[in-house]
Amino acid sequence: MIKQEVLEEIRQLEFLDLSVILGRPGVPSTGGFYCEKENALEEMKRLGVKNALTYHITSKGYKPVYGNKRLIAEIGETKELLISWILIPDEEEMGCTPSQFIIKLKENNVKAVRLFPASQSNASVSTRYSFTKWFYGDFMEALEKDKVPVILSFNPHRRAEPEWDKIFSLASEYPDLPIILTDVFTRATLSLVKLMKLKPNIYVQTTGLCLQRQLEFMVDKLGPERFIAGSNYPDMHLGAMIAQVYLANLTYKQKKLIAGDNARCLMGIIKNGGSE
Amino acid sequence: MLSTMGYRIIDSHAHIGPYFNFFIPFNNAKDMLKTMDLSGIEATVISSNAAISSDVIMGNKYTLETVKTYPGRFLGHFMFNPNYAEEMKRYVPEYFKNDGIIGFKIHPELSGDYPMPGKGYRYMWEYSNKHRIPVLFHTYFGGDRLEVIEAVAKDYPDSPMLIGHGGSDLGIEKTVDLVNKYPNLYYDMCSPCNKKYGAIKLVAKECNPDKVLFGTDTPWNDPDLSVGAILLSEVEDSIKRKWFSENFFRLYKRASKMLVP
Repeated sequence: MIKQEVLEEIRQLEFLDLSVILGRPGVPSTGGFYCEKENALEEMKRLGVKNALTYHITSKGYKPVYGNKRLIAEIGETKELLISWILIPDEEEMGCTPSQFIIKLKENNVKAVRLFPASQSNASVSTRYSFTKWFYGDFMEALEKDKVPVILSFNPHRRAEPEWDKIFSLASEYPDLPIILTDVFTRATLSLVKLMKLKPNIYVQTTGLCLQRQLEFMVDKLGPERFIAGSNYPDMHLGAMIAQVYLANLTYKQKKLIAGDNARCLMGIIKNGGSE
Repeated sequence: MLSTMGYRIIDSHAHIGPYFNFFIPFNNAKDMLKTMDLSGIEATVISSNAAISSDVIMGNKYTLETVKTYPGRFLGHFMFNPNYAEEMKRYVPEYFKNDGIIGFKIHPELSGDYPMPGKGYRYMWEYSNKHRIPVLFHTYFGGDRLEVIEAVAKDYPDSPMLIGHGGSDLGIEKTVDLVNKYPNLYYDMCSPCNKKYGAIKLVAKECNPDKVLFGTDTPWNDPDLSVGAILLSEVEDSIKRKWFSENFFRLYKRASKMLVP
């Protein structure tokens, strides 16, 4: 049993989990587990997580337009769950122009857009569309104009790193576009710190910072505003995300920003995420 | 605080010091002690990164010095590098005169993909088998298969063996089956399996609760992730206590000289 006072302290941090995945994937989590809306809500309630930004696995593993629609249908009016859509930045694929896409985001209360550009063949270096301005430029320009957060995952093999130049280029080309990286950066602290110092529009999801006290180390270098709590549930345990922030050697204000306020601020849910 | 939820936590799989392949913040003993305090970890069993990936003699010395400097907080695994088997033989009896050195660590991957049944490991297995000293071995996708691990477990039935990282790359279900089958095999609940939602549920449901030990791989991993995922899981309290420390004291009998079980 989790002590009531612990749960209350967790609730006070008002966690917003940046990455919760709904739907049945081709390869489920260990033990055959996958997550439907009810599973996510139950686990969030049990652990005092206030909100989660979801995406539907079929948006990633099948077809974005299909999965994005399905997510809207499945979530309905569930206020704890927020919506993110997966984008392949191409009119043919999305069935609409960039400006029409932005209208759809607003109509459906979509809080962020996700990119999974990596190709199945070699996720570290190869993408399934050209990850360059001449390909993604029209969509990124539209997203930047509305400051829609773009959550970017290359999902390289666990000991590999994403191609830094691709991230650097995107952040340079669209300096007002908030870009949240969700890959695992265990082996890449030095590169990541330097990149984030150079590009203030880059943010990082916490569970990508797996080294001992990597989160605290990076907060010390860059400030707490650049870090966003996210679990990748149901693959990873929500408790891992919570404890990494809750037990961190950081102030309460810093923890609250990372737990949820930074994300809410980027998504326009609250104004002024605040900083110390 | 979460860290004082009443569990006694011993981290049976950790390292210390810098690593050549990437930057690790706060990797020295003093900083790691602070981490342990923040995460609610009473004691940590280390093998230095130098020992597993560089000069094993220097690295084991680093481990021993840390153990001696912080008795009761750090305990040590003697890293056995099979590429230096003859030198290792000279050091093993000497190191195990120290109460703070409580087991062997082997890392076949960082020892050049050295196979566990290979000649270079033979002395260690025999020593472990004779003195019932636990061996924690690393596993990974390219290393020895479960069939090989099974054969080693049969060859040295009195050698307690911890399957590192819960055999995550070998198939957690199959690894659990093997642990349940052989009395001398134990499940190392160390990253990544102790952060994964499904893996925690699976191990709690399927694995003999007396054969699972908690580890974090600190400083390669943030212990808060591992501690938090298990603390905040729905696993029964009695099982959490076994994973976190009770099984450790049963397996690592030498540790009782340094810590009160």
